[in-house]
Amino acid sequence: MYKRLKIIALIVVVLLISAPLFLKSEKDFLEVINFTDSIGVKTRVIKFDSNDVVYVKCKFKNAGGYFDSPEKLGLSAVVGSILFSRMGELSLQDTARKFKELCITGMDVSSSGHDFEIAFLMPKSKSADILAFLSTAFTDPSFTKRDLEYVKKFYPEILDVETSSITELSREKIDNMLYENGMYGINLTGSAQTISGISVEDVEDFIKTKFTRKNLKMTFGGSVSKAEAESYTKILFEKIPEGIEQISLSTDQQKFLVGNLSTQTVAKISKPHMEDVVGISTGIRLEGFNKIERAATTIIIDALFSEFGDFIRDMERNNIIGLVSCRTIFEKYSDTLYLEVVLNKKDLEKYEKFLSEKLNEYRKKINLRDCRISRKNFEKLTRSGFTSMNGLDYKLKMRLLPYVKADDDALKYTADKLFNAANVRTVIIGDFAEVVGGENGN
Amino acid sequence: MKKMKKFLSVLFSLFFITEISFCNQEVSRKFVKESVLSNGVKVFIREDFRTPIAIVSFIIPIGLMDVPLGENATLILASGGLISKKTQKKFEAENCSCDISAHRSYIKITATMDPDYIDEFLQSACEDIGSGIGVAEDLANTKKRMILKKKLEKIHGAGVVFESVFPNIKVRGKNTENVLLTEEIINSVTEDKCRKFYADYLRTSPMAVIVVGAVGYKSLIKSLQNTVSRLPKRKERPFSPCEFETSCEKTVSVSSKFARDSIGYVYKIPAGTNMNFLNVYFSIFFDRLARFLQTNSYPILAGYSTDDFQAGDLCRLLYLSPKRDVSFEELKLGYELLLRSMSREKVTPEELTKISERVSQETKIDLVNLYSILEDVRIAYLFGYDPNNSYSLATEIKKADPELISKFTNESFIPNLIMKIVSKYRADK
Repeated sequence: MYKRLKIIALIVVVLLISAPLFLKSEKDFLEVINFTDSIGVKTRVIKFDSNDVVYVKCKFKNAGGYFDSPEKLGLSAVVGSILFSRMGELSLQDTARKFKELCITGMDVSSSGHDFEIAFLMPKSKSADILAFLSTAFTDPSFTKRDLEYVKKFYPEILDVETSSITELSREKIDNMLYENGMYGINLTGSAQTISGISVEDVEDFIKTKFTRKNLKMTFGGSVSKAEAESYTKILFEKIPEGIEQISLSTDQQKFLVGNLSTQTVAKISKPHMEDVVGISTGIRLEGFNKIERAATTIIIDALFSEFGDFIRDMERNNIIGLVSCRTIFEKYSDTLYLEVVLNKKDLEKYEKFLSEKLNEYRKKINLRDCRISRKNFEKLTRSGFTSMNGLDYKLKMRLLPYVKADDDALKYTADKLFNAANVRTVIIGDFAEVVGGENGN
Repeated sequence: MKKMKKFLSVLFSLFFITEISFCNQEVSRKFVKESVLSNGVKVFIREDFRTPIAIVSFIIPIGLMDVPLGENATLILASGGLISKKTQKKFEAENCSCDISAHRSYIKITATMDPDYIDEFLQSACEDIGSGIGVAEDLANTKKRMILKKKLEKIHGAGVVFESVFPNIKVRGKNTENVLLTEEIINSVTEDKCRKFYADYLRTSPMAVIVVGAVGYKSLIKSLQNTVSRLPKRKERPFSPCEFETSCEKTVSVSSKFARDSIGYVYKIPAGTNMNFLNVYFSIFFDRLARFLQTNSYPILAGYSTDDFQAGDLCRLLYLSPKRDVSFEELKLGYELLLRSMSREKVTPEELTKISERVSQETKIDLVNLYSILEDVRIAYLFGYDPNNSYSLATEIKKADPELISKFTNESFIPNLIMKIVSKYRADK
């Protein structure tokens, strides 16, 4: 009996000691909990060892720039600029100091899309003070008319900066062409005219009506328990109105957002000082892609357009030297693939021919061997943790795509949809003496 | 039964010892362990098992300031091939990304990978670095890409401020204008020049390998001994600090259609300055900026100091680029007020406590980011100080001497601020 007990006990000890080795599965690095908390807020907790640092993201659905009224376009961006500028009785400068003292870092307020998003990092040990401090921006905003005028003062300059950058300029034009007359195709910064019409009442009304609990989704990342997440949300948002739950948009509303593909397929923008360099941006409208197709798109893009991908190799084989960058933006009702290339002007014609041939070729046949390698890497990514806490929500979104389901058939099917010439629009920027079918970027 | 009790108590003790040893591991992994391989390569390892990723970085302290006039392009192009395309492609297929960059005082190779591939990567990387097989690889196309990049930078206005500063600074007796890459310089690079650069400059000492991530110290050292320590040991190249001449213009104004308004100061770090003290000083300096600058959107300051010059104890560039809602005039005024306050207003113990608390939290955030740990270790290596010091910065701030801070501002910092850079968004403004 004693001998048996001794053997059992020894086995238990061995198991206890070796347990950490066997338990090192993906759960050790990433654990995601989704729940609705006691005040009705949809919450997601991404659990991982974060050294007392907590990532917080507050997302107010349908409060982004797409939902600004045309005459007040840029309102959500203005709210983003002014929301945390003056807190309570503090001056602007003291508010800035308070942010530093409380160690709130990585604050990112974004309104350029469907949702109004606020993300930041905070030390767990100061969470109660920080959240109570930030909550006043929603319940008791204290910015003044002067503050608003101050924010508005800078908008002409922001617009100026945007139109002087080649990337911004081509991106804006591509969006105009892919989503003509739709909100997806509009620069959400607004114009000098729409911004000047925004009043203190508009901003206050926005805060009261758009920042509601039924409209809110919280994401926490780090060493945070479900109970802690719930208490954090309570401190921040218990006092904001409950509001009405957002329902899905009607077909007409969706159409208002995405608009139509323009009939113009190529636009040339002339910009001085470009010398012998040209930028060619290609945009592809990807409508109605489901999650598997999005995963397949990510895999295909990685396999074709990464540093050692087919596209760049083939370009050099054709003696075309260019700097290539490619990315996709996933939006609610339509995704966009942007392929941006910078070339010497003398290679422009050669490249245009090459691009059209390649897109056609990829539609018919993609390199499945490279795609499988890429898929394997993305599958690995879904199991790994995070090397830093910035942009955690986006990283998680990418990890949650069903790469494993993007099998060879799905890849082929997606490539066929992806490289559809009818959905491709192109913008060429360079110092052209003659402007054809486009506009002057001056 | 007595025996049984005794046995169980031993078991419990064993269990608790195991638990304690796991706890100790938690604490000890906060620190960077150092070692030197037989061929002189320094090794810094920080174990961090929170995520199954390892980052390996080779730091080779040879930079643009070390090569003769006109050879800067050779250095950049040759260093880009220290890891051959074949190796890069092979490991990219295993989700390993590799980045090589040449700086003014060092070359950096950084690879991020699944820890399972670290042995294999070190093996291939060392074969490439040891033989110099890739230094002249695909030269014609790489040169063309480099020329295109330079043209693009000019159009975007990126680097306008930096490039306008260099012709006005002399380093090691040379006017740094030669650091600027022109099309002519890039085109002059030949395969022979790349191989000669490799033969003349690549040394295992001084060189460092930094590894951060999910790798055990002991197994990694073994792996490094089988790979990195086999890199051929050649005649050592002394790692001398740069000489810095201040007899250049004090103020430069730059106008660019594309760049945004910005102000920068270059601070020459005098020889013998205690780098730990300097880090304390700049923590106070940037904290005080909040008092003189206001940002409307969200109060984060846009100021930062770049370490581009730091390697080789050269100088530090303090550069402020306004966020959307800080006007150029406010920025200028804010900076001037800041300098005045640093000169006249003594730092108080309360101020130090607040800054120390903040830095302590920032250190925690930095410790989450594997790349920021890697950067801390890299800077520490290039400066020659203990990499674990950055984790004690908060404590050092708390016990800083206000007298010394004021003295430093008036006797060292302000007299050594040698340049102001102004970059205007519109030339007509």
